[in-house]
Amino acid sequence: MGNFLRLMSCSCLLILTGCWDSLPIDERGFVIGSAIDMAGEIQDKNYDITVTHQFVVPGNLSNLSQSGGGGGDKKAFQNISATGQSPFQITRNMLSLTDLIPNSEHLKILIISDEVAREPDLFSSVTDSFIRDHEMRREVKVMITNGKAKDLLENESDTEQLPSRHINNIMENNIKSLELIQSVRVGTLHQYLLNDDSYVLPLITLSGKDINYNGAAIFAGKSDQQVGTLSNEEIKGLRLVKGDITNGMLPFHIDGELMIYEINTANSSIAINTANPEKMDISITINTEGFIAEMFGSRSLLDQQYINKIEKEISKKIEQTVNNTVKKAQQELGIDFFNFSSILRQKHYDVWKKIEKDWEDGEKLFSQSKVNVTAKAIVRDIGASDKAKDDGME
Amino acid sequence: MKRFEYADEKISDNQILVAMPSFVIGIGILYLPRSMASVTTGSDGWLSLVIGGIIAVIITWSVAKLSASFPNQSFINYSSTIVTKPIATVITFLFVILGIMVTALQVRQIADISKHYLLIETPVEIISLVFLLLILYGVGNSRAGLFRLNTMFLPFVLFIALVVIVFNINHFNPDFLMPAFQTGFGGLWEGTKGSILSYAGFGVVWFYITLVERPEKTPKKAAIGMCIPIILYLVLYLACIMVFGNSVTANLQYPTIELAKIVEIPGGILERFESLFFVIWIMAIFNTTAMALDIAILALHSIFGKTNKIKLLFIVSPIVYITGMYPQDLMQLSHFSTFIGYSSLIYTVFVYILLFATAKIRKVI
Repeated sequence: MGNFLRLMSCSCLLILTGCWDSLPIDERGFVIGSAIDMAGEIQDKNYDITVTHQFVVPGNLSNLSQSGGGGGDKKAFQNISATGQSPFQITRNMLSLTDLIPNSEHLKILIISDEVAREPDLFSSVTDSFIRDHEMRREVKVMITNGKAKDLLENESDTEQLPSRHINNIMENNIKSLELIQSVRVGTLHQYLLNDDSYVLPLITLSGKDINYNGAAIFAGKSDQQVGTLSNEEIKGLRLVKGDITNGMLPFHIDGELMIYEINTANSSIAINTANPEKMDISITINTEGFIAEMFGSRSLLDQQYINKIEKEISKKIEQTVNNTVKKAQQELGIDFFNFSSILRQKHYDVWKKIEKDWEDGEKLFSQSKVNVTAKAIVRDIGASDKAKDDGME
Repeated sequence: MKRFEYADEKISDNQILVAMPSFVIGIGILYLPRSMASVTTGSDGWLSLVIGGIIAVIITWSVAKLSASFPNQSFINYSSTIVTKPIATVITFLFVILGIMVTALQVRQIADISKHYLLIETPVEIISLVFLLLILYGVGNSRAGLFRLNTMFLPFVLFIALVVIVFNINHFNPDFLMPAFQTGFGGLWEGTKGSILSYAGFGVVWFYITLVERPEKTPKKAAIGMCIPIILYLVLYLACIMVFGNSVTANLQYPTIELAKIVEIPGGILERFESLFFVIWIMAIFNTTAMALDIAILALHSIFGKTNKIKLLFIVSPIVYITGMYPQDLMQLSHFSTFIGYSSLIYTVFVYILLFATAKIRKVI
C-alpha cells in the first residue's frame, strides 16, 4: 500500500505541473470597445467588413490626481483594424498585427456603422459572435452610428482617456433626458434578434470633435435591418408611450410664451381592443407629474385657473408629440417599434396567433389600427419662486 | 496511513433530508430553464416543474416508506426476503451500473462546462481525471464524512443561488411572464418529462435509508428534502424567464450560468461573479457525483460482501472514466444524459412496483 501511494503521488505531479490556460495578464490585450464598418463596396452578397478593436494600454493610463507626471502625452489606447468576412475571424487575424492576445472580457461598447445595419440580415450575422462568445458579457452596450464607427473610437475627449469609456459614460448619463432612449445591452439585443418584434437602438453621431448621442435607429424585426431613424422629437413620443420616465423636460408654448415642464414621473398604460382585428383599437393613457422648470412669460403661477390651463396645454403637447411619432410608425414606415405586438402576444395570445403574419407585413394590420392617445399632466410644483421678473412693458 | 474514524457509520434522518437536495442539485439546473422554455410558451414551464416535482416527491416518499419498513437491513437483504436472493442480486447489480453511469455523466458534464467557461485550453480528459480523483478521495473515506460534507456544502449552494437571484432583481421584467396558460398539453407533458429527469435522485432513498438508525420519520424527511430542489428550480427558472424572456432562455446553453454572469456586485468589487458561482456550484456537483459513486460502491459491496471497499473503488473508477469519455460531442452527451435520466427513473419505479407488489402478495410487510 505504501509503495502504491508513493507511486500515486508521483503520478499526480505529472498532472499538476502546469496549467494549460495560464496566460500572464501583461500579455493580454484588453479590448474595451469594438466597431464594425463596411469595407469597400458590396459585390453580390459578398460583404467585407472592417472590425476595429480598442485595446487599453495600461501603462499610459495616468491617474488624474498625479497630474503632470509621465505618460500624459501618450495615448492610453491603441486601435487595431482588420478586414475580413466575420468578426471572429478578423479578431483572430489581428494576432498578426499586435503582440497582445485579445481578451474581450472587459468589452464595454459595440458600435456598428449604419452601412452595416442597413444591409438585410448582415446586422444579425455580425453581432452573432458577440452573443455566442462566452467571453463577452451580456452587458456590452450596442449602438449604431451614422458614418464610420471607427472614427468614434479615435475621438479623444478631454475628460476621459479612453474613447470607449467616454462613450460608455455618455450612454449611462441619459436619465435626465426625454430625447434619448435607454442604452441597449447585447443580452437585450439577443432577445430582439430572436423575436420578430421591431425595435430601436441608440444612434450616436460624431460631429466635429463632439460625440452626439441623439436619435435612434429603427430596426425591422423580421429582417433585423435598419429601416429608418427617429429624431429627438420623435423619440419623446416613443418614450412617453413606453412610460417609465423618471426625468425629462418638455418645452411647450402657452399664450405664445415658452415654458418648460420638467417631468418627474410618467407612466403609461396601453389597452388594445381586439374585437375587430381588421381595425384594432389601441388606446394609450399617459399620466405625468412634474413641475415648471422655466418660464418666459411673467404671469403668476399661483393661480388655480392658470395652472389648469397649463396642465391642459401640456397634455395637448404630449398628445401631439405622441401622435406625431405614431404617424411616422404607422404611415411612413409601417414598423411597430412601439412593440404593441408584444402586448398583443402577452395579453391577447389567441388573436395574436391568428394575425401574427399580417401585423407589419401582409395586410399591414398595424398601419390600419386606430391609436388613441389621452394624456393627463399634473403640475405639482412651480419651483422656488413664483415670478422671477415683473410684468415688464405692460 | 491512519484514517480518521468517525463514531459510527450510522446516519440520522436529518442527514437524509440534506442528502436528498445535495444529490438532486447538480448540473441539471444549469440548463433546466432552457429545456423548460423551449417546449412551453411564456412562463408556463412552472406548471411542468410543479407537476414533475409532485411526482418526484410521491416516488421519493413511497420508496422511502418501503425501505423504512425494513429498518437496519441493507437493500439486498430485504429485497432477498421479498423476491429471492438471485433476483435481488440482479436488481442490485443494475443499480450498480446506474450509479456508475450517473457518476460518469456528471464527471464528463462538469468537465465540459469547466472547459466552456473557465479552462478553455485544458483537455476535457484532464479535467475529468482530476475531478474523478477528487471524487475517489471523497468516496474512499468514511461514508459518514460524506454526509457531513453534504451538510456543510448545501447552505453555501443555496446561498449562492439566492445571491444570483437577489442581484438580478433589478433586471426582472414581469412582462416576460405573459402570456400565461397558453401551452398545449403536449408541451406541458414534454416539460414535465424534462423536469422529472432533473429531479431524479431517488437512488439515495433505496440505499441510504438502510443506514438510518430509527427510520420511522425518514420518509417524511426525505419528501421534505425533495421539496428543496423543487423550490430552488422553480425560483431559478422564473428568474431566468423574467430576466431573459422565453425566447432567449430557450436559446441559451446554460441559462443559469448566464444569470450569474449578469450579476455585477455594486462598486466593482467583483466583476466576474460567475467564477465564484462556479466554484460553489462545483461543490454541489461534487456532492452529487460522490454520492452516486458511493451508492454504486455500497451496492457492489453488498453483493461481494468480503471485498475491500477501496479495492472495489479502484476497479470501478476506470470504468467510470472510460464511460464518461465515450460520448464524442454535445449531442451524443445529451442523448446519453437523457438515456440515463429515463433509465434511472423507470428503473426506480419498476423496482418499487415489483418489490411492493410482491411484498403485498407474499405478505412480507
